[in-house]
Amino acid sequence: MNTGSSNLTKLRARIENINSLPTIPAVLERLLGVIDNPRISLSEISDFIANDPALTTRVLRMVNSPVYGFPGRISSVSQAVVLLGVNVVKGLLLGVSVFDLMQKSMVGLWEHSLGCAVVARLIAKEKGVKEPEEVSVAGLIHDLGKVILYLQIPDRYERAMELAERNKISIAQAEQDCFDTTHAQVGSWIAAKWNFPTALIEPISYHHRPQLSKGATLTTAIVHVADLIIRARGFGFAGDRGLPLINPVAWDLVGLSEDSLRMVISEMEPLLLDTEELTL
Amino acid sequence: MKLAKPVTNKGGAVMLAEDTELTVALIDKMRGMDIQGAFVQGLSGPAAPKDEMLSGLEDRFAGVSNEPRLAVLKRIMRDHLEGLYEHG
Ligand SMILES: [Fe+2]
Ligand SMILES: [Fe+2]
Repeated sequence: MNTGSSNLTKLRARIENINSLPTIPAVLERLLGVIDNPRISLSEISDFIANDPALTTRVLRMVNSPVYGFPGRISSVSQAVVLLGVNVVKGLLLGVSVFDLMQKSMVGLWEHSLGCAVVARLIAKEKGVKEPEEVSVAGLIHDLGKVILYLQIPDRYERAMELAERNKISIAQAEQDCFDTTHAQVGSWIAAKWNFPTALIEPISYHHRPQLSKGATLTTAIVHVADLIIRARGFGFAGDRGLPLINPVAWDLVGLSEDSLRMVISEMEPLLLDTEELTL
Repeated sequence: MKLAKPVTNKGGAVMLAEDTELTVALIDKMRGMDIQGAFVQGLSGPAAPKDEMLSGLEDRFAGVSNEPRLAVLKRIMRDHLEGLYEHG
């Protein structure tokens, strides 16, 4: 027990120190200075993106994709940043920057994340949520912890994936067995370390246990439901084959009627096809 | 073979309208244009055969069959997946 908790403390320290990881891609490393600065202004963040052509392309592709669904075309970074706001842009930057890592760590995780973002936005829209983009970006990065764990200890993460496959258990259970923690917990450490807003921290931390959310209950519940729907559709791969446990209270809080659920699912389908083009 | 969506250049200008019939000559011409790609009608159907799609659904729901909310989701998703095979 004692060694267990001190190992966990070590793992947490290691994860919070991700900036110094030798394998971290250069773009992410520069990005972290921007993300964890709580006082960064709209124009500073625009300049940062605009100075990196690859990042600019990725951001523009993403904001013009079905993940956001703005009418018309957004052609400049500054326009995107003004429309989305600093917090959403931070999440978005992280999402597009870990794209390659997602592809590398778990084939299908990027598709799962995009799909979850699309469904989360459709549900948010259906529920009349004021900032559907914020819910969407929460969907995009909800499984960030998987990438972080993989990045820290790739061999062990691969073992967890094999374990999930072989024993037909959830990836979260396999992570618990191999790391003594889960991607949700790891995601919460990193999101807090990077000064993410509550509306992003809580869905990352609690998307499998939405009853624990205190400050972003509806967003967290929507991401929980979107995760279920996109897995039910069989789009992308999140590390295991079966559906995760449903939280009935969160499901009821989102409160989609059968008709709304049908509508969200049929609206989702053509958008998913469009995201297949979104290789960034 | 027709375009499913308009073809635009990198600046976003529409080069070819939706529903344009694609001919060999036109495809040759498109190669010389500053475009990233094109969507063609009828090619974007489901990637897997229907029975594979539906047995996948059964597998995914196998462990959670007695949760009533998920039973609703499963029924709606099954209708939806079957619907993907109805047109074209
Ligand atoms: Fe998850
Ligand atoms: Fe997920």
